[in-house]
Amino acid sequence: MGIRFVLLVNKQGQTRLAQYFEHLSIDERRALEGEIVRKCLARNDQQNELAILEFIHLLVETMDRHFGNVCELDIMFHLEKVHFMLEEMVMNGCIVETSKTNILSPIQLMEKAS
Amino acid sequence: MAAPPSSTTVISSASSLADSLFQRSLDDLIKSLRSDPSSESVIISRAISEIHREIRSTDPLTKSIALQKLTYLSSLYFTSMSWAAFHTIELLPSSSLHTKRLAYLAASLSIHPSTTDLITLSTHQLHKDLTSLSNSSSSSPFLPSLPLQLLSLAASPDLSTHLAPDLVPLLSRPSPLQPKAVSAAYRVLSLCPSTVPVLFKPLVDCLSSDNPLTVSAAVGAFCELSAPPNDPSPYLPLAPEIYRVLVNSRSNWTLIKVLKIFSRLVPLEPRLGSRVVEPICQFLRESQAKSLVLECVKTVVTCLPTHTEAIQLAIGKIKELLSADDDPNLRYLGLQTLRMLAPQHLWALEENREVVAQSLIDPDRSISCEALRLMMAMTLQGNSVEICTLLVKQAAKSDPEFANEILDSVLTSCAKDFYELVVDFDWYVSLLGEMARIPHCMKGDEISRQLVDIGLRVRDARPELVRVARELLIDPSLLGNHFLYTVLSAAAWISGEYVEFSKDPMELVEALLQPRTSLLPTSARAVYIQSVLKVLTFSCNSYLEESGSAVNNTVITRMLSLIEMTVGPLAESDEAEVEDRVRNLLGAVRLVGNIKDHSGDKDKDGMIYEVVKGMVHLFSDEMGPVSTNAQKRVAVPDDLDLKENLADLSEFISDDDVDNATQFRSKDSILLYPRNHNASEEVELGPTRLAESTSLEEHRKRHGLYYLSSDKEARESELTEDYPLVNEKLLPLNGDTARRVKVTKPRPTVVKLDEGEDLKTSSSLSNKEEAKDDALSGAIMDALLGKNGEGPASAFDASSSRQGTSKDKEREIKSKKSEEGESKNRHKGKRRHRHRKEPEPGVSASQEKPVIQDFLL
Repeated sequence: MGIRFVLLVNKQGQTRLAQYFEHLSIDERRALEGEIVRKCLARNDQQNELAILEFIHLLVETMDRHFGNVCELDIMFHLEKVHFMLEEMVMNGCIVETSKTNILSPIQLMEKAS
Repeated sequence: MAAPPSSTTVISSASSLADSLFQRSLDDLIKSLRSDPSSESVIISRAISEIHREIRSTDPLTKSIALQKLTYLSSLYFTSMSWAAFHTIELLPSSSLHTKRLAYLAASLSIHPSTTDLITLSTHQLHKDLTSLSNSSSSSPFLPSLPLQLLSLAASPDLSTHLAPDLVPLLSRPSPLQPKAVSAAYRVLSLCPSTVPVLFKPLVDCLSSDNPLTVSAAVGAFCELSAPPNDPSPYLPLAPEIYRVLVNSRSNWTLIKVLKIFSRLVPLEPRLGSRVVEPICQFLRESQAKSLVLECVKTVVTCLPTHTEAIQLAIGKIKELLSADDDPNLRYLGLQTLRMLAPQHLWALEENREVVAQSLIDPDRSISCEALRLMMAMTLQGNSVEICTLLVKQAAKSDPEFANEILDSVLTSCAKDFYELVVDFDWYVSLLGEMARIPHCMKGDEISRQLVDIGLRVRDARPELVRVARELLIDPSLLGNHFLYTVLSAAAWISGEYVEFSKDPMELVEALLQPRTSLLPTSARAVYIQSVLKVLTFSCNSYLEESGSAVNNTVITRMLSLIEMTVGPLAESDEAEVEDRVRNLLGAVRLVGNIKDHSGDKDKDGMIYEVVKGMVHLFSDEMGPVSTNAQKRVAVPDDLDLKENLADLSEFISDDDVDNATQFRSKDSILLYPRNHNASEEVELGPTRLAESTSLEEHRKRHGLYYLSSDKEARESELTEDYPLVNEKLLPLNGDTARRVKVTKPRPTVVKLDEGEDLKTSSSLSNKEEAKDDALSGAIMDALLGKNGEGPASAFDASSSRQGTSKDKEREIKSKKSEEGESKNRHKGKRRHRHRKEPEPGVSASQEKPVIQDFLL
């Protein structure tokens, strides 16, 4: 499996965004998220840790570009938009898009439409 | 599916009007949650009941807002939304892009085939959205990405079969949707192998797409398909395409995935290694991206260990990682990759030993644990003293958890293969003593097992063992630590069993009977008392035998009175184990004491001499290790009927015939020789013993067939002959090791029994390696074979001309290859590579396994 899940968590350990690419029950998710807060970066043999770190940077930069200096509240009030961005970037655990412009264009399109 | 509001009844439209007028938006919900965090659960349950009502509304806007709120609560507050799956599917066909998007998001977050099969209801809608681009030009170009997303998360085998043909145009046409289609196709393919004929070819073609993102997604898909536990061998024929990506791609993410694929293929086809090593070395030299460099290092270390230049470069990079002072993550990765070098390139580990030792005290637990594993990996006979001493010192300074982890590694690796790492047992035994004294040590069980085990197996270590045991026993502070009780009882047993090496038996008795022994549990206490008996026996004997020994009249008198005084009260102990042994001991004391009073001091006359000799004889049988499989190897005589009633033997089997060494019996690997008779009986009934043994002899004569044919004579005549034969096989040292071994004194003999003693189940390992025969790899194998003519091979034909280097050679090979293509069937059998692993059973294709093109290699 490539990327299994993406979580955004605030400094208090509350989940602010959760996207799973493999199926977990609600209880499993709750347990996992509790665990993650304790072990911030999963060190796992199958993945290239540094590439994941770069991906996290890209996600934050993309959110920065869209919201302008992104903060927790932005994510809370626009959760679905962050989900849309993530969907553009990762599919099925694989990175499918890395250009910030390309990631954001469907969202801008949708904003224009509504 | 959702009917437009105009067609609904008056009543429901009125109610939905009220709903939509007074409906709270998501923003309202978030605000109320934020304003009063203490009553979160109340707010959530109220919101849920609102959503229950609103989501039934016929107004699509009300419905979508309700769904939006539910999605929010579900993804951040773990609220279940499985009940709303039907309403979610109802909203998928919405004409508003925003609503549609929300519905798809909700569906991809909540719907999964394992929880609901409702997803099949949306098959037609997904089909419509997937093909929207070709059907109507007006729809948004992003529309198909929504069903692709959903498909990649929530596809069921059923859905996969139905929608696979819709993916083909998306896969083949260059567009921003192509990478997503690849990703969804991978999912469909792995769920439903029957779609391979439809999807595999377009997926392979994506590897040579002009869009780097498509290539990246395709590489990612093949990386996942070839990942364990899947069998990577069906993808071997794709090596040329993937190699081309390795050479041409500029994306680090793609290159990392390509390297991962090659690291699975190279072991199957070693000739690939010499081909990929060149680009990898180039990355190692030139790339600025740490992630790519790390992946190159991993690939080189795991599957190109024979390529010297690559290894040198990789080790250089590992050193860079190790010296990253400001980033613990890089240091951790450096240690991790260093450990991968362990079996083959130990010198690289040795070179970095200082850094590794330094990492042991790193505050980051993952780093210190990794450093510990590395330390153990570089331990050899030659440096084990140095490394283990360092580690134990470190353990004394570390926190309890890590200290025990260190002790555990040291104990396990030193005891491995009958203490293969240990040359100097005196050192190791004292190290064991040191380990036991480390505060928070919780490895008492293992330490005591090894102490006893070494006592049994290594004769030369016994004097030192007794010294270590003495130090443990005379320290009253250790008696308060309940983790050490097993160690103390092992020490007590050792000092009793090998008392002849003790310098001062009186001191030993004092230690064994010190007041704080009352803190010990019964089992340990019983061992202590039994050991006192052994020491007493030894002391009496040496008092009688050697006039110049440390044991003189005063010592004996003092010993006897001390024993009587401290042990006497225990005769009434509630614990059978203790009471039994105390009575034995007191009996022995009285026997020796009474006779002594009568006959004056150094008179070696009759009785006392015989009593003491008898007692010495009791303990003179040496104990040795017994293979756990020993019993199995004794052949059952043909005429032995195990079913026959053995009741007539019962008079010879007393209840307390349980051998008193049982408690020292270590958990699994060693057993002790049971003594022939129970000690207690013989001490108290000394003279009657003869009578009993003669009756036993008579019995043997009468019922010879019940006895296993043992060479009793040999056992009785020369006790040392009874000791198990040494069966030592030191593993051959490789060059590296041998160079470093500086043996200052010869390694003592370690008694080992046959191979069977430590039976390891190697079968489980091989089972694991055997990939499960899955339908997918079979299907892919078939697909590649069927299309060999125009499939991947032809793609490579076209591409090889694109490649710039050594064109002539390639052209030559290309023509060779096209010939080969025609006469493929003839050549196939011949050209299979011997060293390649046999395919899993059940794949009939093994005869016609695709052969990797020669010019790649």
